Amino acid sequence: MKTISIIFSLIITTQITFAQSNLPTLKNSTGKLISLNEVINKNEPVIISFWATWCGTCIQELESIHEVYEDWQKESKLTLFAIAIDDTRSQGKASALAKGKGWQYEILFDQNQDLKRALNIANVPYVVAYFKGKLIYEHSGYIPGNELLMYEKIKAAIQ
Amino acid sequence: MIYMKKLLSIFLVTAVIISATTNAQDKKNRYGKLTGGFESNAQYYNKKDETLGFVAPDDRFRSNNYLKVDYSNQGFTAGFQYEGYSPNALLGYSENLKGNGFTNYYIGYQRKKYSITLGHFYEQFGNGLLLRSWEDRQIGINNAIFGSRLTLSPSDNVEIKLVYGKKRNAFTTGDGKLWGANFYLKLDKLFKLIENQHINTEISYVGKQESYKGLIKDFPETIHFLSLSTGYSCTNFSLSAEYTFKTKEGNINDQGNIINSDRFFTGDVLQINGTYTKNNSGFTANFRKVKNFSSRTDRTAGINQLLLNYIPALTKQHHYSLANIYVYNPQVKFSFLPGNVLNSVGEVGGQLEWYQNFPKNTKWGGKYGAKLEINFSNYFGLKYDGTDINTTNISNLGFGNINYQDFNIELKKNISKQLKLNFTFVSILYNQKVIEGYGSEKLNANIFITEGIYKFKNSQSIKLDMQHMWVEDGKGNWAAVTTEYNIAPKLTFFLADLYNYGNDYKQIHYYNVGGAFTIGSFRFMTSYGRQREGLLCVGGICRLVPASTGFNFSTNYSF
Repeated sequence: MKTISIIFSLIITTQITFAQSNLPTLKNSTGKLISLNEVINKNEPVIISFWATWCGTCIQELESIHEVYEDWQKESKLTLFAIAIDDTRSQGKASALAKGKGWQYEILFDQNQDLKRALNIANVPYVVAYFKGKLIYEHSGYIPGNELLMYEKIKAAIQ
Repeated sequence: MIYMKKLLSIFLVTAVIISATTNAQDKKNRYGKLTGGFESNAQYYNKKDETLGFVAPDDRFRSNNYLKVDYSNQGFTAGFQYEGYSPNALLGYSENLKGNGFTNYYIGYQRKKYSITLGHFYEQFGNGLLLRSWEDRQIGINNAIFGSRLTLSPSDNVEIKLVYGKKRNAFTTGDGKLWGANFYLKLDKLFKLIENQHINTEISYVGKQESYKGLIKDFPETIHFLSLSTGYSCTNFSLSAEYTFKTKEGNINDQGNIINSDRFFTGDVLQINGTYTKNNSGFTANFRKVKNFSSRTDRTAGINQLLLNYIPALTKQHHYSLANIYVYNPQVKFSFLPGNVLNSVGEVGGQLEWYQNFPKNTKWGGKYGAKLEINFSNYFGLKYDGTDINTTNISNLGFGNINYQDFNIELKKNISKQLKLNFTFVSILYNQKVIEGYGSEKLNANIFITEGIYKFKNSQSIKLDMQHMWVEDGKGNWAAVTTEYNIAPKLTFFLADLYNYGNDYKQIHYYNVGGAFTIGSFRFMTSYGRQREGLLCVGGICRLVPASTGFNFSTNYSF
């Protein structure tokens, strides 16, 4: 326990960058490999939302964003990547569910949760936003109204 | 091996200290980057709860703690996970999880066309039917492979993986060795497909070896697994199929003991998945047949330990509490009743699902829109005759008794911009004798759930759900209510009660009250209440959670 406390206190007392360089490559619904390093380094803002078909709160968050997504896209040219952390039990449902909800998001599959692990995410829902490779927002869990606060942060960061 | 462990530990601790003691900008440019996460789940148990029949262990405070640190510098990566079960793991976790120590550590080097990893790593071939190593802290699984992995990506259309190692078991590894190769090929160019049409194929091989010193003649020590899968997709449609096969393996009963028989069995899985989507609609269909296929690298390992592959239940996963009481545990291996009486050899069945969006300002959607989901699944036991493993005949694709059947319908309707309502009906037919080894062959449960979310101001909301489950041939009916008050973005409070009644012996309230605080990646949650005894399942893997009463604390932080 002593070792763990020493290492942990060393880490939290230093300023640490959130930049990532060795993120995994994920597949989209057609099997195409998408590099997450390229995604987060886009010149437009990117929201990465971790969800699962069995996670009610995650779907609630993505539905709330869906109601305002068109406006956000027009105003800030942002893209939302919805990363399904479903394992093979429910992975095949994610694309059908997204269509059945009318979502226009880019759906990617974190098949064995490699990206979730690389970003040290404990539970879903979890949302991160990047602009030109820099982390500008992150939040664990979802409470109705969070999406509006997130969008304000994104707008402030890109101005 | 011990030398390698020491070397890795020294290197990692040095890397952490170097990185952690430099400032951020320097680190980015010169010293690489450091990221990580901390998680702690603790419980303080009440001394006893007579209603539940719960008596706390001597050490009433227990916690599971995880610290993960990763360091990366250009293509180079290294990291570790340190776990502490102080002084003992939470009730229901493996007894091997005791004390503190480094459980996972690795170094790796990654370039665009190849990567190498030494130490612990997680891997999955295809659908995971042959090989999956993964972590799920909720159910106490971490079966990372300790060994080496080489990944080659000579072009965008080809990926080759080679692995060798042993699986992690608590603070050490199992005895059994595994090795494997996986080839993933995109064949779009070969078939000269038009844009938006794709064909992939995947070929996987895994071998495992564990010595055997018992008296059974010709007991298989080395088992080979082979899989071939292929998938086609275009804009609105996809279809994939996988067939896997394993060579003969010895028979193990449900307590992890070798059955004294010199008759050994092969195993196989056939799985077909299809998806069709069009504007505002999505359909999926699955078919799967499994015979004797779940395997471990150590054949007599405890429950959930050293699993080689992953064969989940292909049924709907629910997020409401009452719908998670009678969950399907897929029949993916031979299972036995006491006296080694054969109870199940596999399953055959499928699942259908339909998602429909009714947009706002349409006939069905009304002013604010509505959504509908329908799911149906039905699984039968794979047919066999007799209950003696030495004489039974197993059908190749024959349908036996029903193991599990469920029908789910869910309607979500937005009444106004502030109020959202959700109605769910679930009907389950559950063969308790096959799934749990005792009880009714036709347990029937019907559940009705209604949920409402009311949002006031932009940042505050109240959520209320009410559930009722009518059960025939089980432990009586259940009623449940959960209410949440949320203040975005940081605070949540909740109050919940599950009430088991309508039986002749015991009526129990499982109450819980608690709250959570979140800021950025930091989340702290605490609650007080009763835990229901039952199977906690994630995917098809379950952990038996014992009944208990007390305080819970949970903390997560990533950096």
